[in-house]
Formats: sequence, structure tokens, C-alpha cells
Amino acid sequence: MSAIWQGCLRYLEAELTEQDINTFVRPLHAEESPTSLLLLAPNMVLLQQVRNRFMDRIENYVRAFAREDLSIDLRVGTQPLAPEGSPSSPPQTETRAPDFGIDLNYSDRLLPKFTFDKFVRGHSNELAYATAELVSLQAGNDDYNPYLIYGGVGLGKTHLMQAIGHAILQNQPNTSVVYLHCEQFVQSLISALQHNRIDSFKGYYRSVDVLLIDDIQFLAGKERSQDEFFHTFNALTGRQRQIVVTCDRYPKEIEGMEDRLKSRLGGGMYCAIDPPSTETRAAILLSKAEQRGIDLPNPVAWFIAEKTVGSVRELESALSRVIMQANVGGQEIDVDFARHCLRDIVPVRDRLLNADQIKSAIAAYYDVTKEDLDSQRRPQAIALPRQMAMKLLHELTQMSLASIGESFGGRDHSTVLYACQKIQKRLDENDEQTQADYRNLKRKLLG
Amino acid sequence: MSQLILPLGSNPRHTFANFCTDGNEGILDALESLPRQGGSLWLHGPQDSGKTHLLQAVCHQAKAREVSAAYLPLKQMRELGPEALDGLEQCLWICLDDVDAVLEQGDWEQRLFGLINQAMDHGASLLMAARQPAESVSVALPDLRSRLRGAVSFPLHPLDDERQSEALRRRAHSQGYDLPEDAVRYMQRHVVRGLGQLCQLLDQLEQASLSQQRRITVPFVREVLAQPPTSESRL
Repeated sequence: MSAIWQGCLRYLEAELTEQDINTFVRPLHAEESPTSLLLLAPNMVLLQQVRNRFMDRIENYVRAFAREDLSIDLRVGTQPLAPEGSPSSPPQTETRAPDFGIDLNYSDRLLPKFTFDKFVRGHSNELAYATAELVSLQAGNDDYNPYLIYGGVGLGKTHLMQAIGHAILQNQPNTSVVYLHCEQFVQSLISALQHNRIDSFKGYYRSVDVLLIDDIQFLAGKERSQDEFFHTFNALTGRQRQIVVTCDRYPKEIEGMEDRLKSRLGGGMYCAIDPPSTETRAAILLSKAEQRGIDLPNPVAWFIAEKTVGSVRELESALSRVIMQANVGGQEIDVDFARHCLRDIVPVRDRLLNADQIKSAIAAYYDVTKEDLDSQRRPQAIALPRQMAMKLLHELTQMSLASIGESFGGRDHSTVLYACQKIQKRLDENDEQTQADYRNLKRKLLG
Repeated sequence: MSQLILPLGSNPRHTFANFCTDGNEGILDALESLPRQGGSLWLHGPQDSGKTHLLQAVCHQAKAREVSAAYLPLKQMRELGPEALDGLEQCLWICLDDVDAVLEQGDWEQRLFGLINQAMDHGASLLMAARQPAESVSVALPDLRSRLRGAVSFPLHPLDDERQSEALRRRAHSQGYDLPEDAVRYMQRHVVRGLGQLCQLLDQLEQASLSQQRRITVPFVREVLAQPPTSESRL
């Protein structure tokens, strides 16, 4: 760190509140040259606060205690993140990459942990896994291009997608594999338009060998981004370059997505990932623990798998918490210890494992019967509670869409999906009654 | 040119050393191991349970280790707009206080989701605090909900009177003076209970003590409390 800035920080620490220091000053990165002190703020909001509130003090300090002739430059910019103890790299100012405002080294962002060998297979993801392996061996093959992996959040879609990238790079190290979240694609397009570098944008994305885009549903409602993605898609598939996308639902069900794009995305190979069974969840826990060098007893894995609800991400979170607390106290991990560590989660979730209880709560709230919910009747007075019940079952239990549908008088998964979307739409549109019902019911169920 | 006083530095108010826990000692170790692991933590508890203290302490530790950090009190920053989250992934430790204040707000949720993804890509650690557990907060964006619930969560509890007293005395000690037990009890009896307000009173007493060159005693506390509140006082 710049010596002048270090001194200035000490000065500011004595002058400002701890909160102002930690919020506005500490995130600044300083670079010192013989003639100037460059301060980089993460964004314009923080920059303006620093400029308006603290810049005079910074200038006073530098003039009084450092060098009167030093120019001070405050800009929005970033510094590459350096690990603790390693020397920092030169900053990249204003734009984060030389081309059109984004970091081009996306293949660097494939996380090492997301490889095939660390993916736990089960009935819920078997087909998606097998297809991913095929794609990695036959990238660009028309039969698997694009490869679409879809399913709920936190079920391993990103893991599988990145595993494809790793495997391709391992077999063909010179391949250009680009992984990015859909939001980054949109942001980079906006940035390219702002910097008048749309040709660079197009040239870049249309020249990669493998394009991995996560959460494609974020393109919904963004017409220009969809248009660019559509042309990128055509350019890549036309040259037998592989595209892999993930989505939280089957693309045809995304509102605000152009039909031609939906058609393209569904035109290759697609596989769903369902929530894992308890057995698979326990296997995931054992695998994750092993990767961290922890010998997790089977009963503990089963306990956590059974007692926690939600995605694999939440499952891992529960495991991390148990391991962390065991490390602190040097304690052996057994079921009682795990129960103690997860005491604020398990009692709440214990009550939610039973679909019957959720239906009972909803029936009582709306003054209908459970039989009404399961029936084929469709008056609004029953349809809405039924849709709400499906939505809450989907959110609060591990049940797949198909099994939720089955529990409502043998309906199919698309009905459940429609119901969930319908309620979500009302919530998003600030329908006050639906929002109140949703809040009240969750409070009632979650305690 | 105006003359400046050479700063000798002030002791931070919020450190791990002066943090008192109530039955969840593991949290301090979890925070200390956070930088080595990356990942995210979710601290939850009611007002005065120490969430802000811990987040500020993390930033203090960042300084000691010479790593970049940022603390964003989101409730206070709401009016500045969600762009305040942009680029923060470049910090190694990102502390977000009052996360629940910006949930169910479209732009904020989108930016927060983006920040979490970017932080994950960069190997940065994210420390979030809210009143409710991640499982109970309402989140409109399903992907964000999943990521928040994926954070390792730690509950925090408000301290009882005895622990509050210990916390105040530790805080005084970290500033280089001793706080008599009877003065603490008097403070507890005469202000609305809550560690946050007691800490504010202690800061006020400390200022008055320095300016009047007097020790903090029960009569001194009584005098300070009898003074009309200033615009800076929030008691």
C-alpha cells in the first residue's frame, strides 16, 4: 500500500467515525507514483461520497504531511484481487478490461471444485450428468448443441456446467472456454454499448469455442440482450462451437423470452435436475465432508440430510456450520452435536417436512377443506388456495414438482409450475392480498 | 494553511477483543477463519445482539492484515441506490449490514445477487447481517434466496445485564480507562436498556470525561445524563 495513503488512513481514522472509515475510506485502493496519488473507488456512489465529504481532509493531510506538489486523483476503478500476503497487481482503471468494459478471462472463473469427480450422482441428476460427460467429449456435436440444464436453484446446474468446461480444457487445453453468469453477459453488452465497442463484443463472444452461460432466464424482458445472444448463438452453433446454458425452468415457460430464442434453446439436448432424494443428499454431505478432510459419520450425514430442507447449497451450509463449530471446540461430530449446532434450523424445518401439515394450515387459513385442495374443482375460492399450497410446498419441502402435483389429486408437474408462477406473479405485481396471505402463511408455518 | 494536529490514531470501538458473546463463542472463530476460506456467513439476531459490532470488527481486522474490506450499512445506504454495491467484489471481505432492508426491492436484489456471484468468482468473503435467519427473510428472486440460505448462519442473542456490563467495561478498557462497576449499574438503571444505547452513552461520557478531565463515576454519569441532549446525542 502507498506509504502516503497509509499515513492518511491513520489521520482519517482519528478524524472520522469508525463507520465512515469502514464504509467509504477502507474500500479505496491507492496507487502512488512520483507525481500523483491515485485513489480508486469501487463505484460512483462511494466516489461521490468520498469526494463530497472527505476529499478536503485527504488533500489537507497530503499537503501538510506528505508532498505539497502531489496531485490527487479520485476515480472509479478496480484492482485485481490479490490473495492475502501476495503483492498487489497494477490497477485497471475506469474499464475493467481493455476491450469493452469487462474482464475477458472468464475461463479463469471456472471454480476448481466444480469438476465431474466432485459431483455426486443420484437418480435426480443421472441423465443430466451422463449427458454432460458426453458433451465434454463431443463438444460441438449437433445432437447436444446447445446443451440445456434446467431445474430449481441450488441443485448443481452450475457445478455440472463448469465440470463440462474443466473436462474440455483438460482434454484440449488450447480451447477457449468462456463461462459467465447471464447477468454478466447483459452487463458486458451494456458496457460495450456505452463505450461504443459493440463490434468488439460481438467479435469476442462469436469467436469462443465453448460458451457456458448460467441462469439464462435473466435474459427475460431484455430485448437487446436477447437479440445479441440469439446472433451469438447462431454464429457459434453454425461453426459447431458448443453452447451450454442453465435455466431455472424449461425455456418455453419463461415469460418475456422471444419465441425464436426459446426454440433455439430447446433445439438441442436438454435435461432436468430434480431435487435430490434423502439418500443422494446424505451422499452429497459425505462427499463434501471428505473433500474437506472430515470423516463424517453416516448417521450424522443422514440426520442433516433428513432434517434440513432446501437446495444442495443449504445442505452444504448446514454441514459447514457443524464442521466449523466442531473445529472451534475440538469436538467429535455426532448426531447430538449436529442437532445442537443446527438447533435454530431443525426445529423449524422439522415441522415443515410434512406436506399434510402445510395443506392443513392453508385449508384452515382460507376456510376450505383439504379435500377441496385435492379436488378437481376450479372455482376461484379453491383455485387460489390450491395454487398457494403448491407454491409453499415447492418452497418449503424437498418435494419435486411431479410429486407435489401427484399429492394434489394426481395433477402433473406443469400444473404445479403454473401455480407457482401465478402466485409469484401476483407477489411481484404487489397484489396486496396475495402478499399478505403469503406472509401470514409463512409466518404461521415457520413459527 | 491551517495547522493540523498530528494524529496519533484512535482505538477502534468495535473489535473482536471487546466483543461479548452469549453462548455462541464459535462465531469469533468462524469470523477469523473466514478470510482463509472465502464463502459467506449470515449473522442474525435482534437489535443489540452485536451484528454491527462484529462486522465493524471484521473491517478492523482487515486493516491489521492489510487486506481490503468494506462495510455497508444497507438500511442507511438505501437512498444512495443499489449501485453502491457495484465493484465491491474487489474487496476481500465484504460486510453487509441490515441486508433485510433491501430485500424484495427489485434493483437491490438484482445487484446483491450479482455481487454474491462476483464475490464467489473472486474468492472474496461475504459477511451478511440481518434480524431474521436467512430461511425466514422474504426474498423475491429465487436465485438470491438460495444463495442467502446457502450462507453459513450464526444466531446472535442480546446480552443479559451481566454480559452487557462486561461488554461496556471491555469497551472502556480498550479505550484505555477503567469503568467502575457501580457506574455501569447506574447507567443500566437510568437509560433505556439496550447495549447500543449504553455504548452511545459511554461514548458521550468519554468525551465529557476527556474535556472536563474527570473520571467516570456515578455522580459524573448523573451530571451528564442531566444535561439536555445535544443534536449529536441520540439517547
